Amino acid sequence: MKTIIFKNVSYSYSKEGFAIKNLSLELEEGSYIALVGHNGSGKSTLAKLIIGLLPLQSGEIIVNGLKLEKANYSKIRSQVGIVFQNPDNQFIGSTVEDDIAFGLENRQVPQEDMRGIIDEFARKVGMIDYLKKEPTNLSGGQKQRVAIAGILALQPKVIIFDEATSMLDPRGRNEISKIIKEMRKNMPDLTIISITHDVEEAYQADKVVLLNKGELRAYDKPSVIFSNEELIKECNLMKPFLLNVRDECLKVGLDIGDASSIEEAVEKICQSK
Amino acid sequence: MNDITFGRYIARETPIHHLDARNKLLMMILFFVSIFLQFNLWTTNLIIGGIILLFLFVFMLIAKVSLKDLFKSLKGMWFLVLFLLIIYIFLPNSTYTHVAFSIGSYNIYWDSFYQCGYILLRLVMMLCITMILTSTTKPMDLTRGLEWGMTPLKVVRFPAHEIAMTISIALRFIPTILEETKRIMKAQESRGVDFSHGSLKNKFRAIISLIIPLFVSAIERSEELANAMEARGYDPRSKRTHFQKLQFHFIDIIGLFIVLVIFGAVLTLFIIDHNFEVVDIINVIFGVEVGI
Amino acid sequence: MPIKVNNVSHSYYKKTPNEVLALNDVSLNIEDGSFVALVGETGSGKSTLVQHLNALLLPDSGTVEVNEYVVTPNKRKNKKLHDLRKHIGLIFQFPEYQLFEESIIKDVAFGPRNFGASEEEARQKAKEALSLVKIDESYFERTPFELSGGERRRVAIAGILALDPDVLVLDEPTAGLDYQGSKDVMDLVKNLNEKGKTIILVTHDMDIVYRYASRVCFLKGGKIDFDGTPVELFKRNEKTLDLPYLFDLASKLNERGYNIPLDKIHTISDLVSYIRK
Repeated sequence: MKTIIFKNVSYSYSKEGFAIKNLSLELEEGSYIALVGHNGSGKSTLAKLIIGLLPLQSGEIIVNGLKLEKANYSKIRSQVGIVFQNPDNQFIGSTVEDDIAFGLENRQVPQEDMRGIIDEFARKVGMIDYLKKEPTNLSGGQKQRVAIAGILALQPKVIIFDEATSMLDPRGRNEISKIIKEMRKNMPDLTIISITHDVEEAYQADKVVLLNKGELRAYDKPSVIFSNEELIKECNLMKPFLLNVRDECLKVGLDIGDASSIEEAVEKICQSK
Repeated sequence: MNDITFGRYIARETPIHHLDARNKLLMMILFFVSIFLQFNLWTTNLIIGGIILLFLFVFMLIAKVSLKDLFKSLKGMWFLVLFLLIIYIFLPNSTYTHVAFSIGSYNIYWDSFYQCGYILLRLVMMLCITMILTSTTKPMDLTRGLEWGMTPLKVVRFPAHEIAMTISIALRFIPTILEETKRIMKAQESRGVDFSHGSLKNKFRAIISLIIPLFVSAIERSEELANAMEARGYDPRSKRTHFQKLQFHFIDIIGLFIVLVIFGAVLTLFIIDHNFEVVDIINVIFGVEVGI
Repeated sequence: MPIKVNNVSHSYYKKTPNEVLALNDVSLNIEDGSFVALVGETGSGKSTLVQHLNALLLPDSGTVEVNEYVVTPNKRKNKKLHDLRKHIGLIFQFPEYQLFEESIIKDVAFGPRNFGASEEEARQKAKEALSLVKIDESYFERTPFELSGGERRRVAIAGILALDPDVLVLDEPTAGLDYQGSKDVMDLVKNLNEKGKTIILVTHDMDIVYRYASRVCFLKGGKIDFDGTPVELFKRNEKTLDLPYLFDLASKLNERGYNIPLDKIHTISDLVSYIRK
């Protein structure tokens, strides 16, 4: 099944150029997709288009079989959630539980059901002990976890992380990546789209969408994309560490093949001697 | 890292925190009316004001609102007080009679000091009331209380919900923006800006260097916030359910009773003080001559 | 300009129940031309410490000495400290939020103007600073708000560089930037260090620490928990830090009998050349 289908989508903020240019793409349901590209490559624009935060100018987007148009905004938004970059600017409630409730209230979930749902998802992201806390007393990572809970509580089919960890410290980053790992394991039908600069994270994804100057440059497995030297250079990307090790070794005549972890790379280097 | 905590909601378990937001708003209005009832004699004014203030202090103690915060915010007002005093001293009203002392042929009246003090007293009372309300009521509840209060106005297409939501978001972002202010001030100080000394022109530039970045980031923030709200399905025009129940409890009845008694007492005194008869009150309210 | 931090303590929310001791008797010397990284978890006191270096915060006890300037707890004695800020340039996190003038050049010239430079002088200094951060002359008269995130960051850094400080303190200068943006900023910092400026870098990124810093101070609970080379720190705190991949790989190879000098490798090709040996 395809969750999101783009057909010839273009978008421009001004007359000068395109933020998204004639993009066609089909995303698999239940996959973990990394959306990469330099700043200004159109990644965030794409995310905003999907849920109608920006109006579609040309082309067509289909989300879970629903054509993206004004009449469907509300339905689509209940199926697609976005965790934004700045933890402060998406914390709407005055306490953790109020913030998780915000989306439920908009969906007109009956009052008597809310308590249970809030507790369930606060527990899932490890925030059950903080329900009454205010945002000023939370770390960035904790605020992002609340945002995730607020989205998961609506049982979406797609969750988009729009550089959700880029303003966090390493601890916050680890917390979020742990939650993402758990989601991948426990919610196989959930499509996760991660907009990221972190090539190491992208390397772990099922598929990578590579954007450059608003155009789709590639949509493929990470190992394929990041092995394409020219493409990486053109799009100003860094090569993931393990691939870099493999290639540098190859340059001096040491063939260690693909390794999926540092331990494996160590093993292979030792064997190749 | 911000020490300005005035009016911020502080989660505590006190009877006042448990009061219904609608009830608290109602109480606030009653208090405000009491404050603005003016008596004939200045002594009565000060005494009644003092008594109301005393009650407010008691409420603050119950609500565990820190008196220190109140004094801190008062400290910032000495300039205003001075300004008022100067105005009252140099622009005496013709009704002033109590001469304190004379400088040459110029009389300085006690009345000036009294007027100024009375304004200060009212200001302090208003501060107390607002502090009690905002620091014991979650912004979201306050919003709902306000919305409820403005419901009748919806008939005339008054955007009650939107206004209430705006207020609640403003309250939620006060600490964030204060923090931001501090950060930008420090960043500009690192570029040699001196916010406390320097010529008027330099001070003006200093303030511009603070206000523009604040403005830019506030706009960015509001855009992101709007996106986040919309993404989570918020639509001001459609119906929403509510997680927090607004419910009148027994304690609300007690609270309201106490405030009504205070209000009633002040109102009664006011009526006696002005020698009003019921008829006169009707006259005052409706502006018509019922006449006998 | 060597910096001497002597027994500095600082707390926030003084005399309230929420009082936090952010710095607890910290002493630290920083020599001219060094590249020091300050690391530690959020709330460990890094930001508090660097704000003492240019007297944005005053110590509750202890002193900070920078040449003839002495920062003491006493407000009145610190009159000359305004000038200290010309010598110690502090660049905050997300500095692009401090831009406010209508043109880039004016914004960068703002700092020198505040320290009494004439308009002409200030413009000259701004031009030099902008060329250091590689902003093209054709941009000078444009508004800073049109620039991309990475460019805005560089303009903001130029705003401090225009003061020509001897010491540059940067708080997470690469936060939120993409690969190219971070690389530009770190190349600039490295370049400035090679030109003799002292660099003090507050960061969470151990890769940056490993690649650039010659010395690292690890703060924990308001105290300096460790002061030494990056390699020593990584060896000591192997379990608790997010080790740089390069270090991790090299040290794991060493466990298997290789002999890679951990403090001499900065890139993967360095590492591979040692594997070959």
